Amino acid sequence: MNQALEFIYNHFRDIAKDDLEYVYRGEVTAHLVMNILELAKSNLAKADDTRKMRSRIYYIMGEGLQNITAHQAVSTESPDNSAIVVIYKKRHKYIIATGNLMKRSAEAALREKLETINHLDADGLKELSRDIRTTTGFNEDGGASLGLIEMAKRSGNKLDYLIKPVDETHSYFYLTTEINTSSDTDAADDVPYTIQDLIDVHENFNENNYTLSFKGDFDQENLLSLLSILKSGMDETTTRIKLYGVMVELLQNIVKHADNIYENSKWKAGVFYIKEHEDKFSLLAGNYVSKSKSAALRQRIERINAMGSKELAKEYNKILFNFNNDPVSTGLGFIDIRRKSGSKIEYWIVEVNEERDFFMVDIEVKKVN
Amino acid sequence: MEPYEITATVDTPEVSLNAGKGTLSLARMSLPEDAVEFYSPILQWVSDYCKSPNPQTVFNMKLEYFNTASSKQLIQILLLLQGLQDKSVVIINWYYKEIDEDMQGLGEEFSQIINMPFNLIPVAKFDK
Repeated sequence: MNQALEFIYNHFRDIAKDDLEYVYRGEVTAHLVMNILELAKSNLAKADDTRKMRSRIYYIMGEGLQNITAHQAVSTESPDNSAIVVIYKKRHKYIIATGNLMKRSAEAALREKLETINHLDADGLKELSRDIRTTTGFNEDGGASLGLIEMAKRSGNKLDYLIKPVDETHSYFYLTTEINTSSDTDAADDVPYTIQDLIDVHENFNENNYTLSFKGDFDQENLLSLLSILKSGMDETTTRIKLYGVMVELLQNIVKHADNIYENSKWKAGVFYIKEHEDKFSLLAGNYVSKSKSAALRQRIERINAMGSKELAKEYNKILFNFNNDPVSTGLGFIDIRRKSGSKIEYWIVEVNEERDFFMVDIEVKKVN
Repeated sequence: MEPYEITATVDTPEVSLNAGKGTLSLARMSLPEDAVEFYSPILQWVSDYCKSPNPQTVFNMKLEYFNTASSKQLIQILLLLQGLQDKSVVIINWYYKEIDEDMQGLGEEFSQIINMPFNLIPVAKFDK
């Protein structure tokens, strides 16, 4: 297992039921914001939080994401041109963390706004928000300021931020907002999510050219949200059509075959990354498998990997006519992945404990002109 | 026979089956969680239609994408239509986006394996 995969596995291992970590790196458009919110919404609906709490979290996420579209600057010279969005849930804590490039000329004003907000208590925030709504207070771009005030007000927490100079004219603006869904005593044991965590994620994504990752429950709803995010982040090309096809089969494999480690629950832990190289994409997916199934899985992939394109076509046609109508397994997924991607299936099976292994694949999809 | 019509969802296709006109059509996306369940009434309808078909039957395959689970269901529809040829003139129009080489390839392959000619029709994009 190479270093990047080992990192993904180690990062995945601490997953617990209802956890969620979604990261996107790229251009943040209004359409994408909608799709990310959709993903957040379907996961919020699964957690035990009250409706009031859910709508609060949803609102803060919306403001945080729109904040990027309001502030983001573009610089052709900067490697940090892309924005980063992290939606994170662990135990009683939700985090919405964002990063985007901004003009240095706007830095002082933004810093002042954030400091003002962070020094106000709940009543002070209410007052400020009212002032801005009724007059043109604060300054001319009242819309963006209101967003920040509302985030502080509704989360009940300070806005943690860092503005890092990138070049002479640009800085990178990191912002995290935390929402606690439980009383302070319950949340006290939770590991904090800091600005440094966000910076680490950002650096990891930049270094490895990841554009998207998802760690959480793999069900049909999340799968569809991830597919919509892929679609809204990329123009429709032959490559995107291939990526879409490979992604469906990869993710449905997890939805259907992942070992369910939480008793009496449909919650299926999995992890998925998209990595973009100059000439290809890599799709990385990992999940637990029951030890009793690992050997057969290995054998099956080895067999499919050994096949040439003609044999793959033959095998596909053979299985196509096998109408056992098993709703769980069609037997075609990996063959389809091999055929669409034109690559061998790289895979790793790592022992977790006596009952289960961790199974991970890396599928290369070459860019087609 | 009653027509069978379903509107599309994010993961299931628009379905329109009309015995009076002898037209069958599938459009949009097909990646349901349980393809067997989704296609079961469709296969039943096609199977009933084959008992007393229209003199001409046209199948418009306009799916933009179908997953492997759906492909097993699709081949069963095609097999029913293959068996219908002595009772009805069967025309299969296989639409695909011109940039979608995989969908084009599948059309060629499916035509070959059920041994029936398809009209392979490239389109710039599908109507929404």
